[in-house]
Amino acid sequence: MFRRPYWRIRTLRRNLKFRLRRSGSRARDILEEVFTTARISWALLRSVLRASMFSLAILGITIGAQRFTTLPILEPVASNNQDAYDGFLISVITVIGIFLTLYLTSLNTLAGTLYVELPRRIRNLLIEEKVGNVYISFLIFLTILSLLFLSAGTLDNFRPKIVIIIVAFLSCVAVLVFTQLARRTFTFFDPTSLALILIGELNKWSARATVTGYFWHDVSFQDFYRRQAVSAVSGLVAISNICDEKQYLRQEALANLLGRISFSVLFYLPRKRQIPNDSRWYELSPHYQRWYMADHSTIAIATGTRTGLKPKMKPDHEWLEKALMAIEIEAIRKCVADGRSHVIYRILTDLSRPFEIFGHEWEVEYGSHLLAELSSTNLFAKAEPSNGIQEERKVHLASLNALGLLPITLLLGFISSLSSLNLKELSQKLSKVNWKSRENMYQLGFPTPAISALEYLFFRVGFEIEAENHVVSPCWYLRQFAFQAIAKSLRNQLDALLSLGRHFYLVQTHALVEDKQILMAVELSARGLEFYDKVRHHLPILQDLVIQLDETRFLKTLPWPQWDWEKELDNIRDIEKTLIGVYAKCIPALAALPSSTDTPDYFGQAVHLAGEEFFGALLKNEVDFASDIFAPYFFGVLSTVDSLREETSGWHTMDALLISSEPLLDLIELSGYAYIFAEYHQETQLRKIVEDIWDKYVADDEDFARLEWLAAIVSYTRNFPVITPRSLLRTTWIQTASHLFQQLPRAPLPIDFGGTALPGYSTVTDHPSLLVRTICGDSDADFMFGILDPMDVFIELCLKAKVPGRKLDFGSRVNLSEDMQRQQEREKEGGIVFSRSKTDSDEHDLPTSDTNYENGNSDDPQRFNT
Amino acid sequence: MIHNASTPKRKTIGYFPSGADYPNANVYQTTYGHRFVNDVRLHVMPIGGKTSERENFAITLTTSEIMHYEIISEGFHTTRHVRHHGKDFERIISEFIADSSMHLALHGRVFYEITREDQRSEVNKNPVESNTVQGEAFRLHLIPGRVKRKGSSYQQYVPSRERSDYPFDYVSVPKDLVFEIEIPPSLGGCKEHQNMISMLAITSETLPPFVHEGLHNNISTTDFETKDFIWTMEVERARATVKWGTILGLNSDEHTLEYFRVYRHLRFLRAMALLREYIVSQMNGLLVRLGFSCRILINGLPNSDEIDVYINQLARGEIGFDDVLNAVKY
Repeated sequence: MFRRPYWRIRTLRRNLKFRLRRSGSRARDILEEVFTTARISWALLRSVLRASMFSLAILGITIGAQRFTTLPILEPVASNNQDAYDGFLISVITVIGIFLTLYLTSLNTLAGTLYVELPRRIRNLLIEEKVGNVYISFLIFLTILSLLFLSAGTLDNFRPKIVIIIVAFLSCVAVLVFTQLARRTFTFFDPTSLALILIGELNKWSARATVTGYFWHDVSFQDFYRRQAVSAVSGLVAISNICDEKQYLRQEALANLLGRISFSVLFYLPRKRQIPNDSRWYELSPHYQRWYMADHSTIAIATGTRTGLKPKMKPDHEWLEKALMAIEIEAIRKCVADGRSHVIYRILTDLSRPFEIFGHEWEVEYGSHLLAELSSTNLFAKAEPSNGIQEERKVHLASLNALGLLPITLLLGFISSLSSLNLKELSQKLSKVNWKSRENMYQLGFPTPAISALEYLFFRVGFEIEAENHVVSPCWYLRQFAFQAIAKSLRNQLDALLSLGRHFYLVQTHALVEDKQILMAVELSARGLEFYDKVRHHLPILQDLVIQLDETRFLKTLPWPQWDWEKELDNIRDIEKTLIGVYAKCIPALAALPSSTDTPDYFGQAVHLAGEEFFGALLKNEVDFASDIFAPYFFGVLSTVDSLREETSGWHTMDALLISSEPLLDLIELSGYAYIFAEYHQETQLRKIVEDIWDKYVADDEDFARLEWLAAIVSYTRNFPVITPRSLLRTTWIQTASHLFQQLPRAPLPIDFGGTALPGYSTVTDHPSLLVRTICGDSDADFMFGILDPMDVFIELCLKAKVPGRKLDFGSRVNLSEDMQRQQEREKEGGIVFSRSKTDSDEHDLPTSDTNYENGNSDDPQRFNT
Repeated sequence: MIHNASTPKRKTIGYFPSGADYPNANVYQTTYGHRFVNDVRLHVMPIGGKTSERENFAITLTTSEIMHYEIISEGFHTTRHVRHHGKDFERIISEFIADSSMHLALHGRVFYEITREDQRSEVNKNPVESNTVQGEAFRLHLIPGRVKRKGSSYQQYVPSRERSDYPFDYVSVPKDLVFEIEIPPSLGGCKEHQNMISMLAITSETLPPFVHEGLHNNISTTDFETKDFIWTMEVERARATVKWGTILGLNSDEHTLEYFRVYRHLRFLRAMALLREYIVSQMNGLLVRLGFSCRILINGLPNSDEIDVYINQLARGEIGFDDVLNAVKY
């Protein structure tokens, strides 16, 4: 170890082993080549089989017929036919010559015109074209055979009849194959067809770099495989450049090429699980060490020789993905520059599968990085021209939709991998692993990021075996270590996903709004909301997995990722609120755009969503958020009513009225909920948000025409005996609110039955607000939402108050004021006094109908908080 | 008090100015040899015979007789630079164990010459104490250099560089005047230990000399693999110390798992316990030879069986790293 000869012998041995392996590799290549040739030959033969079978059948019948007589076939041809025999063979040789000339001329034409400007790598692909090469070999063989028979006939008068049959048959095959080959030659006018050869090479070399490959552990072989892959990638880059240069290749051919490149990632990424992280398959880059963090040996060597610390070479595990995706990004940049929107759409659509695989293979961080690069291509800068062609706009929207879908596919890919992750199975496999065999590590089924932890364990357990002759670290420790890596990686993946949502959807949406690309902004924020909805929906899968992982943690000192699910959900909600806020702010701009059935109803979607989210904000007492979206929603509802009236102008009056009034009913009902939840949460701001907007609405309505119109529509439609789709949606609001109110505690309320011996008991909701208590009724079963709907609350407490002295009929089915007074009296009789409501102050007095309590006092139910 | 007694006359040479001619003389100069010897010296007993980690730690005799403490303290007080009093019994015994452990770790065996003290008459004349004290007063003196046993005596060889200063090549001492301690068989015995310590010295080299030379002369040594060399050195070191274990932090993070490092630390503490128990048993054997009926007892330190239990508990996952390290700390 300390003498030079030891290291020299070691190097010699290693070199010898390498040479042997290289020879083995070459032999293997030759064998593979033979198999490939055989496959192609078989494919060629198969393609002419039908025609050949027919020829053979005729030949067989002829031969059979002659056999039954005197087998003349084996006899030499008659002396007077010898010239014809020779002439036949010469003809065959001539025809073959013509075929060869034709094929090579067509190749020459291709090479001389199209391929002459191409890089050598691509020209070589043309030359290496396997099918053509096999065919040429076949023609040469036939030529030689014919020449030999011709020579034998000339020299020794050997001219059996069977030669004519054999040569004739092979010539027929040659003719049939030539027709196919000629057709195939035309495909070479599109150089992107050669990409398949390069992708095949990538597939081949990456497979060899895995632990099932040939000498995968030998550094020289690993490096060789990488260099071959680099060469294939450079070929793909060259083809992509050609596509950009040639006008006729810039559209479909380019899209096809990039689709194939995307496809190549699909087989490569799962294969990475089987490529060692320290393999030279990955490019190495130097990482300089810190003096005060380096290990003893490194420092001792550097100090002893007065040199610097040697850098550690770190592998770049994403080099191939980066190289392949760089081709896509570059192509997108060029397409953006010259407005090839259809190609962009194709590229983005084809990227969906790779993104799913990125997620599935826990490469979310790389997916995020790639998405950031895609976004940086100014994909949709000025993509929504005000005077743009409608068709162009549609393609842009479709492209944005495809782009917005990529994070979702990334997420779903990740979630699907979680569903298939079985920790118990992994634990069992780990307990049975053979630590002396490195291949084992890669076949356990651990996610890609955890493989490095297994490798870390492998080398250190190997040290234990070397030092102590047995594995010292127990199973529980090794399992915990491996699972810690999974837990850490899960944390990173989730962080990357949430960060991706924030940086992609939010930032891009804001940029689009600033750029006045409203449709784009709405489209992207809708995708963003879908993304976060899916995150929330699938979060329990992750939570389950995290719980299982936490259960395997024994050593509390081992660093373990922290999970605060409440905080995560809050963060998600915050981003959602921002996105919805942006969405809602787009409503006025969307209202101004012409509606068309050719494009999605973004305006209707925005108004509907704003309404739903306003209800959600009321439920959760999110005052600021509710304030942000109510005004645009209000505006959107009025605009929707106008547009619906226009669209239903030719309909039956009753149907038209029902349809066009639905948004108004939603608005009034939500306004009612604002009053109710202001009481429920004891938060007057919720009510103020609604009041302020309605006040502005009626401020310039001097003769109350608007309110009268409103009253007429509401009273007519709400009592019309038809169940509309929107009324069913409103029912879900009532159900949600009812469920919430039913959770409130209830107190017993004694009831006097007018002198009977047995006093009765009812219950009352224990809440400071009289309105809430009235709504909740006097027993669990007697819940008032069925009778008193929020629309009535709003009409009674707000709308009617806006027209003092006039009686507007909104079709109310109950009298809220009477109900509340009755409730108060009942409570007084029962001797129950509730604490004063926070919303019950002079400055926040609720408006009431002037139809009742015209001379209200402090006990008046118009102040419905006791 | 006995510390006024005059220095007894010894037969062996107590000091060689040119340095003692030990078989592994250079080991202490190497990185890992030095570390190993110092680690043993510092961990075999609590430093200075005191520890705040273990409340019940005590070094006692099986007698309460003060004079026994005095005589035995004086006998095992081989580190002359430290002044002592009878109350320093714990420190003196600790120092003796640590000192002899250091010699054992370095050479595999250690020899002391026993001088019997006629100056103990002062003690024996004391009418109160003399009634209860048994055994002879004695003093141990480290015998430096190469020592061999020949028949019924031990021979201390004068280093070749100093032979001219002495009229003899060696000093012969009767075996009953020599107290010898060897590495216990449970830790591999003397011969195996010497191989181990040699391996530590060899593996202390950061690079082979030819690579050093190449680096200084800018000559490429492409056939040399630094990574493989470091790995092999680490493996060899770990193999050599398999019975001794290693202190926490000595195994490189680059090649080992935390569990392995804790395990090796426990093995090291187990080796320390074995060594301590063995030295104490040898010291008690000497007391018997000298006619003492009392014995030295060390309480409050984890013994080898207890550490074995902890190692097994750790392997089964019944105890964590922090808990086990706290349990064996002293």
